[in-house]
Amino acid sequence: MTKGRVMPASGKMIKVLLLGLVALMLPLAWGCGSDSASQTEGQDATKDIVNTATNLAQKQELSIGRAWAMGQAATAWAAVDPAGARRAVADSIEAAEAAAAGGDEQRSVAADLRAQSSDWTPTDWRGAVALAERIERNASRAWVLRAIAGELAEADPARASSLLATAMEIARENPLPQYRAEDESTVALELASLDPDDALRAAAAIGDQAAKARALREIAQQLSEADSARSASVLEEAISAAREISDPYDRAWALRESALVPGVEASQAGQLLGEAEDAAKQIVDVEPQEYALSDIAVAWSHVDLEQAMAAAGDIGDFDPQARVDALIGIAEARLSASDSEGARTALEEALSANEGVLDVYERARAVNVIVTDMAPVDSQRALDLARDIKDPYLQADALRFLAEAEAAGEPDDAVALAEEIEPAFVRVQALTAIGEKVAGSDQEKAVDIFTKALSEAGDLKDTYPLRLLASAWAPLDPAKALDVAEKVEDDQDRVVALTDVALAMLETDPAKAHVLFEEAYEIAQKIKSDDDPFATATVLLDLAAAWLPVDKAEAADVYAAAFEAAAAVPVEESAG
Amino acid sequence: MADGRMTRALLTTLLVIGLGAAGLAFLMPAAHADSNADTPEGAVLTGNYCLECHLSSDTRVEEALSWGGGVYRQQYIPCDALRVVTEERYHAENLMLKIAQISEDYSGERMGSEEMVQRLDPQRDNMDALTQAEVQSVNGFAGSAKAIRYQAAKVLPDALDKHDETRRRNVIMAIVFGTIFLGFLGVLGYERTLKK
Repeated sequence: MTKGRVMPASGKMIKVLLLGLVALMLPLAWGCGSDSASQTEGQDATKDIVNTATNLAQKQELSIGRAWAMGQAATAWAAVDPAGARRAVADSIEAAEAAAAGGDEQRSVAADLRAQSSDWTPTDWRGAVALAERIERNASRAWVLRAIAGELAEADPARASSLLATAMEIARENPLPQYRAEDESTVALELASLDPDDALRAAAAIGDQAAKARALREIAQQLSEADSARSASVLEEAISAAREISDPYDRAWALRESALVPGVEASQAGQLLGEAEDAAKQIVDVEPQEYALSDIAVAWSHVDLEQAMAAAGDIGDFDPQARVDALIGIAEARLSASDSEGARTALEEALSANEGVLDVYERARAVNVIVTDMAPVDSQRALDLARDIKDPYLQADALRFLAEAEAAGEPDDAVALAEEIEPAFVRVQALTAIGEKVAGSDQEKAVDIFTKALSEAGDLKDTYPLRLLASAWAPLDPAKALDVAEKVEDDQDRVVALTDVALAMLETDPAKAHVLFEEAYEIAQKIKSDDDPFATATVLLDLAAAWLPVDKAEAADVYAAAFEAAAAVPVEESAG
Repeated sequence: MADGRMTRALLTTLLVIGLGAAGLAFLMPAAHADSNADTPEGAVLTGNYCLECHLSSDTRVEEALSWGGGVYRQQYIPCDALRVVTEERYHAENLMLKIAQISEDYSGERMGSEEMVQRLDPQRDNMDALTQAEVQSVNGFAGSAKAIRYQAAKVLPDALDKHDETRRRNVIMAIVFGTIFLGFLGVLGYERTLKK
């Protein structure tokens, strides 16, 4: 009975509760559903914004790349055939100006992207900031115009000056200080070869002290040979600007670089390096401070070895690589100064400090550099170190260097050393390089070495070493080199090999040489690369430069083709 | 009994409502978490050409790939193009070195590492060719280095398996030798003490 009475009551209550639950869950479900819908809309909007910005960034990069490729081809062509290249030069200048135009709109897309991305997930936000910076970096940049002016400076200084004036205007209008400073600085430097007075005025007007110090320092360097008194006074201005730099890392960098300008007295260099050390010690973060001190230690080695070693010893223990870098740099500076003992001491210390480097790859790379620097000091020690390297490719790299260094004096030992190299890809390159060095003194031995290299190349999957072999063999035996060149599979490599064989064949068989040149030209025009849209233009430019001493008219045609190939690259790309 | 059922039903209902509310609360703030707290350390200002900051006559441009310190040192130089090139080289060569080292550790009498090396060597050859050539543009170099790294990474799962197998074998060997050693000590102890 109780059961029968209670059941309806509790059942009613449960029904009410369930209804209440449904009533509550419905809006929840609607809320969740509409949230995911709005999320999808939000994701679509995000995707649209990113796609628009990516398209713009790609367009900017392609516009700049195209203008520079056109400029390179047009200016090289103009040096051979000024009349024929007039239109191309004008077009490349127009392309450079177009690439620098529209900066305000581009920066507004970047600003919009920054604003929109402020509430995105951290990953999306970081990507958006990187993309915005990419756009800002390439907006209103004057460097292409400045670089074209640099290429024209010798043949047409008046036009180059006018282009540099335009480039400076573009640079000064860039609202982003870091890029404005960078472009102002390089325009001033380019101007120095045309008119040092104008260049100094332009450098003096730069607001950013680091960029100003760099421009003045490098102008001083350019002037050091022709006018040492003026160079010294410009350097003083550079040093004054360097002392005004507020960031201690940048100040240490600028003062250190000033100490290394040719013509600076040892006492002044020492004083500047002391100031640089003081600035470096003000750097708050440990790692950049250690690397700044490492660079200063290397700079000391040009002035005073003991001071350099002491400075290297003062570098902290946070990152042992900073000390290794310093000691390697010191050794290289001592080698340049023909101080073998100083170099050996620094290299042995570098080896010992390198044991503390935790990154296996960086430690191995440093050993390779130590081996190459040790070779002129103590070849046996260098060889022992190279043989101790466990990784076959890193060891191959070291042995290749040592074998090539040995080639001129002891070719048989060099060949024996090259034969120790395990990867055939590197072994063939090493043998080819040895043969090339021997060819000047003993052609017969060189041919033997090339033959050996060819026999070792049988199993190569990548035929790049055959390109090097064909080029090296060509002056001794063009017919044999042609056989090798025909085995080269990659089109870009093949163009180089055929061109070298054609050049070598000119004296003995000019007709065949021209046929080979035509073949190379034809292959070059068809080259396509997924990684580099300007690959065709680049290969044609190299081909034209190689053929220029043979036939100016034909070289001019190839330059024209290079210009056309660059101009034909579309700048509108879809981000997908 | 009725009160008990009602209590259970109420508790169940409240539990469902609580879970629903908690789920909603969990969903709502997720989109905004940390959005303003992070710094853009992943952002890199990539220049594409050395010529952006240097004149064509600047000899430093031709030495982009020569030793200038490691990848960590390059984080503090003003040259973006050089930094990107160094980083791409580091990532590709470091990956290939690690795989080669695993293969080296694994090799010996065991079969299997040769095939891994054969798959890796073409990528190491490609990297060697890339680093022998002059850097024309950062995009060109970075694109090629990334493609090589992508191909090399295909060998990585196999390499990691081999690495695990090497570790397992080392552990087993240590256990086996440890057991033999303890057994030897036991026998020796027995021979010198209990047997007497």
